[in-house]
Amino acid sequence: MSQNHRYSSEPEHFILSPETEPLLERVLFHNRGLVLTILVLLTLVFAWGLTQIRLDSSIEKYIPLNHPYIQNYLTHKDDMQSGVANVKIAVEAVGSDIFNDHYLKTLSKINDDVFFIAGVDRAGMQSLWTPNTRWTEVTEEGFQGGPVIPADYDGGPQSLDQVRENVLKSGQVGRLVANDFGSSIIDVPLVEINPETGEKLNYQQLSHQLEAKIRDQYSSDTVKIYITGTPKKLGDLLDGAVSIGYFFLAAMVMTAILLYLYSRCLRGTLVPVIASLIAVVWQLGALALLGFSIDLYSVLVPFLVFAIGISHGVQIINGIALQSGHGADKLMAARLAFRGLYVPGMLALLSDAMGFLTLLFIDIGVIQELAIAASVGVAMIIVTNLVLLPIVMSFLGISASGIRQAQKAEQADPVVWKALSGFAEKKLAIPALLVAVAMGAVGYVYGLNLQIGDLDKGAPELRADSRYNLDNDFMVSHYSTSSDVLVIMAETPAEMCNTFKVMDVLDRFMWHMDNVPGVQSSASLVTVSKLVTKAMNEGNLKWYALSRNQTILNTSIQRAPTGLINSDCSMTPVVIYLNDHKAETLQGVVAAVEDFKAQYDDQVDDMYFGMKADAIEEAIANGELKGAPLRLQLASGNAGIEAATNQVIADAQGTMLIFVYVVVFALCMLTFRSLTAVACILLPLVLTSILGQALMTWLGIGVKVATLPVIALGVGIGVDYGIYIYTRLEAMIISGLSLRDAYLQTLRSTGKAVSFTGVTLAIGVATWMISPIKFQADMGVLLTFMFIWNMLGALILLPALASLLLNLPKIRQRHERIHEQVPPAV
Amino acid sequence: MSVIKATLLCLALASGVSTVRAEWVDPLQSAAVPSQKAQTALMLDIAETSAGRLVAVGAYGNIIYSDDQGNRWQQAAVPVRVTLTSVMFADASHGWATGHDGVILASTDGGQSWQLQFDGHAANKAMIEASQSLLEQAEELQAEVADGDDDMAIEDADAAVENATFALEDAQYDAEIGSTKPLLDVLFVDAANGYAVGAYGMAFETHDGGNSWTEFSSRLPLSERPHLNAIAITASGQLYIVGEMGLLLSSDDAGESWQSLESPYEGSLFGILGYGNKLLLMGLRGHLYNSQDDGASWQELALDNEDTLIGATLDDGNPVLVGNGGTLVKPLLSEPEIDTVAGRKNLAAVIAVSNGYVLAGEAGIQLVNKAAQLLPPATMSGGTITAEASSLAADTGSQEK
Repeated sequence: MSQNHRYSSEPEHFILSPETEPLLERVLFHNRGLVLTILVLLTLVFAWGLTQIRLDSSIEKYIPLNHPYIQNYLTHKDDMQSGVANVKIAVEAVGSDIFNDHYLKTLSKINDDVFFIAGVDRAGMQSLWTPNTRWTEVTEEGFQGGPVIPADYDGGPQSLDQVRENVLKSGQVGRLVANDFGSSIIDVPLVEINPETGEKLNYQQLSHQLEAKIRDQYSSDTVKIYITGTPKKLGDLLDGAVSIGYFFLAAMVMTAILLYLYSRCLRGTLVPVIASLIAVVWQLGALALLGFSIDLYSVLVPFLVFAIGISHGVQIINGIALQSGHGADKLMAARLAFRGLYVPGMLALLSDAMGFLTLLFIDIGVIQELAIAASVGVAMIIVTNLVLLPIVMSFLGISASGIRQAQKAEQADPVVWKALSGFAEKKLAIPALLVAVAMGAVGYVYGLNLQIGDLDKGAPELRADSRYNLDNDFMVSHYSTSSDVLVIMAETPAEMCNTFKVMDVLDRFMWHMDNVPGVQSSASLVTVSKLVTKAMNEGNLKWYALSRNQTILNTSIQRAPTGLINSDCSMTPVVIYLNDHKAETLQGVVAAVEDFKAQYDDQVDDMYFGMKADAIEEAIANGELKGAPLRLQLASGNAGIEAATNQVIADAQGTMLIFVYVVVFALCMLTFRSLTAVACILLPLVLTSILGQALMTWLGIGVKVATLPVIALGVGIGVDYGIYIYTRLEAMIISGLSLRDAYLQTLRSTGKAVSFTGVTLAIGVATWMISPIKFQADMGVLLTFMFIWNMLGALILLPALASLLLNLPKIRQRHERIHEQVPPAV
Repeated sequence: MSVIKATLLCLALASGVSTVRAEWVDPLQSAAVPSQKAQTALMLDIAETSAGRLVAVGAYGNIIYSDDQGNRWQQAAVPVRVTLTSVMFADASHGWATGHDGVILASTDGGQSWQLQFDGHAANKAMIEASQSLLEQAEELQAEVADGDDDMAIEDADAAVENATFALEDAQYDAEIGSTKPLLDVLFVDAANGYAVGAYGMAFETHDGGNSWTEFSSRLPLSERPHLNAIAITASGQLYIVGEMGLLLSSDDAGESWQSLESPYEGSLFGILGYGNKLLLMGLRGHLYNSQDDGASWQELALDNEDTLIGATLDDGNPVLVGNGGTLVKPLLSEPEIDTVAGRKNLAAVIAVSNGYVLAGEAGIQLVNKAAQLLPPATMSGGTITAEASSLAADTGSQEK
């Protein structure tokens, strides 16, 4: 090939129109200084934007707000003390029970310290030392009662005996006091909006204060502290999100080292790293300027942007080094690399962006913001790494050692390349494909067992051995409360939630649910009414039942805890305690609720629910209604929210995967205009998708908010390899080489960049695996697998498919028909 | 892929095609739901048939029976789902159970299926009729003495009329509220003759195995309408009723006439147990009294226990009592034993078996050894048969209505 020939190449394919790329190339490279200046200015703007970014801790973004369950929950949110904004602090008396003076004094001090932490709802606080913890008892004279720790408590043996007796009478065993009397709880409701400043409570600060002022200060040989509750969990998660920054630094340094080893050119190392960092700055800055904030998911996007940026940067640097090795000067080498890689790079990045955008199908705030953040990031890479990088390199040029390295690689025939090139011949291709099909089949069958939702106990966002989950285990094993709660909201017309018919249906509903596998117990206004009715009848267990006498019913719920009944008695929640929040459990429980609803919900006109009690009585009297209308609404509680999330995910899963493949297929088709070419590129990805699901099944990772995006990302990012390899392979075929020789030549140039990229990307995401946040670790495992496997698929299966599918003379004919003698840009 | 969707679809299809929507049905008219967890729900009484079968009753109309001393239970077919409070068998096959809503159920097959004999509506009707006839009698008496000059008699007659009027008004008010008042205890001396007592002075008797129940509260020397908590018979055939405010009544003529005994306690009494030729009386907050002269005099048994005891049985002739807070007491041993069953769940009834006790209470059926240590939990066996039988019972139940 002569030098002239080489400089007058043109891209083999185009995305929009054949003229776009050459025009863009001319404009950019003829105004290099101007373009560079503009890009630097833009970087400054985005860098300023970056300083505006903030961490967002709102809970709403993590739940599918438009799901009917969540809508129902939001309708009644203010009426329920859902316990979402509660922190529980268990104070354990190590090696003894709680009935000793040292323990009770310590508890008292802790109680006082908690009292003064900002954000604590002081009136609602409950512990052995708060005056709202009382004992009651039925005596000959009626009810008797008092605070559990008597006013004249003096720490003496008599006082301690008194406390022990009062605790037993208080009914707090299993709630405030552990079943084994080894610890007791300080229950701390929080005020989510500071009444003085109007500011939202900062969970991270609260969590830090609890650690510093309570856990660190009071933990000793005799006292251990355990803290649980959603606010604490969020605080821990946000801490984890900050630590993700260190992983980013680690990944960056590792990538730079690898890149240097690969290119042996300092400039060729620093420029792609800096260009990719600029992409990150642009991405974060743009989002901040658009008003988005960072959350636990979008904090991962800079990783992806950086990794994808590096992967494309490497291709460009590789291209420039190769062109320089062939004798082009700095400018021409950069131009040629741009010309050869702009179309596949653009195509690959568009596929990435589309892959991310399919995440918009999932109606959950964090995921949609992740989709937007990531697609914005990828769009930024198009500018920073496909435009900025070659322009910068056109000024700097590749170092001599870098050129030598590229030349060496192009001439060298490492054993691996030789072996891989064998897959371009049917002798190896057919067995390879058969193995792939077999793996696909086995993986598919195995992957059918893939579960939706979280499969681990405790807080699924954090690791099983995290401080929070260990604390949670302690609570669950020592107290009679489950941390997995499904709340059903029973709606009635105003002032009717305590009528006998409604209460009886709720009673029946609770017994229905108690019989469902996975349900531990249930509680509601009915429980309160029965308990009080029993108490009013001298504690005789035989009176543990609902009365039909409305006066007695009213009396029995007069002192029901707030949260079990709303202000106008039109809603009362039924709390169902579950064994766990596994998808299977939730499905069974939700199905049981639907089953009951189908039979006992009064499917009367909505208008009745807005009517006053008198009007309802009238409607009942004239036969319009049979009784007070009632409907049971799913769902609140962590299990309710999780059930809704699982449904959203299950619904989106199929759509998303189909859509991402359709989009990538369409883009590739548009560019390559050949079904066989697209098959060579996409089929290996399908295998990765299937094996990815099998891997999730094997590792016990469910399809959930955190892992569903990975499935889309895997396809979007994975297609890059195939596009780059196929483009080079096609060019080599056109130049007249046999498929095996063409593929060997491809491996020497692009193959090297692709394998490097695969490893780099994998390392970038593999660092997530050590994240304290479980879902980030899960994403790390899956993405690492997908990057590596996609790379292997592109290197092994693509040539194998090519050997069966591609018609070489036809490719050459088409090239001549369109481009005549002008060789394809590579 | 979407199991939930599929389930919903199935449900939608099923409800659209075959099943009619079940509107709310009164607990008196809907059958107990078959359950594999019935033994874990509130259980309030246990009886033993003469064939050695255990039968337990409790919440949601649950009745379960066991032929292996309480380890494995089966659910009986019951036509109501009200809370049942008491059960008693006269022989191997004939048994009765009482419950809230004035329910009396009867079984003729050893407790496997139950029929509704009586309910709160019938109870209200009977109470109104009884107070009406009382009022009539009182008014007749009033008229008789009105012409005389016995001021005392006139005053008494006026008071009787006033009382009877109040009683009638109460009964009419109760009828307006509905069937809600519970019967709390049942006693059958043989397969024909039985008694049921309950809240607000309700007392009914039968002499034909429960085919007809008549009220006898008007024969009781009651000034107000206290809860009648328990009725018991001793080996000598003496009947006792205990209740609120230290109420203690006895009858030595099979319930024809009742006398008030002097009560050793002013608080509520929850049970009375005959053992040998002696009596044990159980009061609020663990108060226990022993009598060796048919209730003429009582001696308090001072035990270190403040939990109310309401369930009692004889274990080899020795009283065993259970009550709130998981308390299990053997009060009359030379060294009285007070145990607490782990978990401290309130208990309502106890039956002695060879290896320990079968307990009924808040936590359903619990099995403990003689030292009150929990044994492996009781289980349910058999499910589908009960479901069919249960719907059958529901049909017969509603037919009777």
